Amino acid sequence: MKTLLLVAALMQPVAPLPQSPAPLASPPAALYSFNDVYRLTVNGAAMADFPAAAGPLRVAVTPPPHGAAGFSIHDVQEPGRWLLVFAGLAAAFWVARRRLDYSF
Amino acid sequence: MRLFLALLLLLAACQQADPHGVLAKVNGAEILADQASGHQGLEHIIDRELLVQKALEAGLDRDPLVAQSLENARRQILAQAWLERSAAGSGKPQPEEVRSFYADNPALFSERRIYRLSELTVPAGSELLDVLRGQVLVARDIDEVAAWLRQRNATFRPASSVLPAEQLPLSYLPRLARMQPGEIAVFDAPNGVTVVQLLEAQEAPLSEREAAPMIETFLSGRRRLELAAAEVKRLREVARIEYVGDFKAR
Repeated sequence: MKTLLLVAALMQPVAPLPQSPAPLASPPAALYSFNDVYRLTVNGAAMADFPAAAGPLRVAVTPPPHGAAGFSIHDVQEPGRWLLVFAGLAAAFWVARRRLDYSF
Repeated sequence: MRLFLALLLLLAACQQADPHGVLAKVNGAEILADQASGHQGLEHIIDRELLVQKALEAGLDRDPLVAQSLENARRQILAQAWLERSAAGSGKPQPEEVRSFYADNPALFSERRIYRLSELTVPAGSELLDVLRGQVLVARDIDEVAAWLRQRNATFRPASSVLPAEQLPLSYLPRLARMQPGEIAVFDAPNGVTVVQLLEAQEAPLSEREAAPMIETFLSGRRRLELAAAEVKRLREVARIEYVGDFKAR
């Protein structure tokens, strides 16, 4: 049981034992209930030793449904205002240099 | 004429069910049955396909960030697939294992109770924690403990809850299972301590028959986790891993 407490994961909700309303939020590992351990174990749990950057790996008894396609929208980083100003100046400089044939 | 009718029937049959399981075609790209389940799922896959087609038209797959994400996703899927394969042979737990788990955890099953609790959470750092443990031993009820804390201007958060055994912290359960109504105990919490008074405990046992399906699923999951963890450990043992730069000095 203790080894399972090391397993960290944020997975789907699970059908709890009879008369058990679903908990509102995941508690810290030290306060895991049997329902928490059951949820992590059955619905797929992250391997604790894997780095977070690699993403969670699951070994679920019931694999997650395939074909689910969810999208999220994030802000797209655009070039800063100064970058645009400098790009404009550089273009003007280049055109002027070609037209006037200055050797600078 | 007969031949014409036969051809018509054949054409109708072909239109009803595609032998390759094609559910839809999006600008010519086929959506197969194993990609989507249900009508809503299919609509989502069609949306995704439309977005994918536009992204490919725009050459986003050659964008360095997108290419890196694609490579990461590919590696993640491969790692997941190997882990799944390693854990696949775990099999179903034996009936004796199920029976043993049921017997080893009476507080969750045969002696399961629904607990009505009154709690005081006292944060860490309070100098009163050690004295508080002594005070709990002599207090008649939790209100007396709360009054004692108030007198000393201590910070604490009162709460009350009704929870079945399986929703209580596993670290608290053995003690709670032995407590009688009215009894008070102090439990260590990650950010301090929790003083708990058991107000009432209602017997709600689960028979072995009732609990068996859930225990089986749990044990299967646990075995898969153990196999997967063992595989990762084995791979690390046989691999040659070289740390570079800052990580070299670890």
